[in-house]
Amino acid sequence: MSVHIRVKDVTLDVPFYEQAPSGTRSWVGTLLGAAFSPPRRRFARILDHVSFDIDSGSRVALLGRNGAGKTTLLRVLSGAFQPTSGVLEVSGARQALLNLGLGFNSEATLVENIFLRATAMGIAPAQIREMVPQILEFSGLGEVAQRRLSTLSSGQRMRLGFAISTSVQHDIMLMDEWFGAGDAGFVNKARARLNDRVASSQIVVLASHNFQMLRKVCDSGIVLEQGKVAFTGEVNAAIEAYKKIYRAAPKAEKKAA
Amino acid sequence: MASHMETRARALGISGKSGGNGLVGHLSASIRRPEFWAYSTWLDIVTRYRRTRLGLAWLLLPTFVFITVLGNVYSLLMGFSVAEYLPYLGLGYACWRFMLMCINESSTVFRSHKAFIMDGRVRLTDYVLRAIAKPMFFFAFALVVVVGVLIWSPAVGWLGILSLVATLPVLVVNMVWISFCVALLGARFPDTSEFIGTLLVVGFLLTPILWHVERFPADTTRGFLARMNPAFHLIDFVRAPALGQMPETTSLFVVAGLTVGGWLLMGVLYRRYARFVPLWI
Repeated sequence: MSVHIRVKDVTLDVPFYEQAPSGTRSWVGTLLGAAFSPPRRRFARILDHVSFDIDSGSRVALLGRNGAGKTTLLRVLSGAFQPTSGVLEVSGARQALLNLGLGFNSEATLVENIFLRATAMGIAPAQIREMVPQILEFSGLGEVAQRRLSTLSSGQRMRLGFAISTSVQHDIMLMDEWFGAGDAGFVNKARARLNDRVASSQIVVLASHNFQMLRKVCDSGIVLEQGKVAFTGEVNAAIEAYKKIYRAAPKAEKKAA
Repeated sequence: MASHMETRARALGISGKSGGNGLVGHLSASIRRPEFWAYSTWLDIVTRYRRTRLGLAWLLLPTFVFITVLGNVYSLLMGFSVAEYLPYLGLGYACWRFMLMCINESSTVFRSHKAFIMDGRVRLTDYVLRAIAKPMFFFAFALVVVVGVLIWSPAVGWLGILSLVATLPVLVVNMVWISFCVALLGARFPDTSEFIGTLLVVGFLLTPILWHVERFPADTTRGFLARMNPAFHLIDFVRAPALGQMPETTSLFVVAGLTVGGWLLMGVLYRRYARFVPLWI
């Protein structure tokens, strides 16, 4: 069976809460307003009839201005959000590299945390036991393995999270920004590992604003603008299309003003 | 590991056609893989007491103190003998605490696991089982104390103690659906956890745990109101047989109705609303 992603006419409406507008008032008024005006529930269309296909072997750059719907689209692809309408078809084991610190217990030891995270990723206990030494070695934290996680620095915690998240190869990788975690020595190691994972996975979807890196990693691109697909095609052309959008944007805003 | 999976979502609800998306599919998949919810919960509990001197003894002490101290005082106030009253209070209190913790935990469970859900782990049954697993561990420890009291008390027979093997699973099965519904409700309306917090304090005093329901015969208004409380029926279903009595017939019907109706409700709600949870939280 081939690895692929098919997105057909996907629309996603998301509920959000909005406070009633209140003009600039004294700080007392603002505080009282915050306490007593009930928020209103509304819907926003974050993705608007999005369609595209990604076939095996593709490295897709996801481009778009802030708030264009990149992260939301990744969450739809990862299965977190189900489309309000439209069809999403994903074939292949997927992994979202969106949150490195997910599900850590800071009072438990490093080894316990590796078990915790790996079970959350759905890995069988027998397999985890084999993974533990590798993960500790890669993160360079073998000496502190029996210490509580809370005694580690945030950089060390990132290293551990990265080592666990990337310890398994999946068919489809979804990433929000490219991770460059830790000190200089670890960054190189992390980059090599990520390159390797990207090279051996069948589909990569990467959201980023770093053109240089996107050109290096990706071969095609999808540009989102206000929840709609503005462009799909070759990665350099996609970057050009994206540049056009964000250059045009201030003009439109000026006109409106 | 399953390397292929296909997800299809349609405009209106999810058809449980593939068997993997419905409640039954999710629940059985979660139960077959207990590492996620059982291991992490156990780790939560163990690490919480790791810094303390007494360690896991803290799981036994509160129940022990509550039952022995309060039991001695209230047996006098209520006019029962200590041998009768301690088992009555102990079982009632342990069950109540279990129910309370289940409901409390599950009212915020989806919100507190937002990071997991946003990462694409949308098998919600995992999180609900997590919310039940923690009270279960505490309940198991409390039962150690309670069974100790039951064995000590001359008023309780062995048959009564054995009846727990049959009645406790029914209580747990009921807490599963209640937790599910509360969790869904709590994801949509954040008021839920506040509301439940209020309800549970009052509930402890209103439910016959410290006092005997015989004070309010069934044919009086107060007795009728006391019997409107489903918690009473669930607790008495466990408690009465253990103390060598038969629960009221109404209790048996109510518990049977709750079990069947609750699981049906949970199935309907899960099918209809589970897919919205990531958007709500």
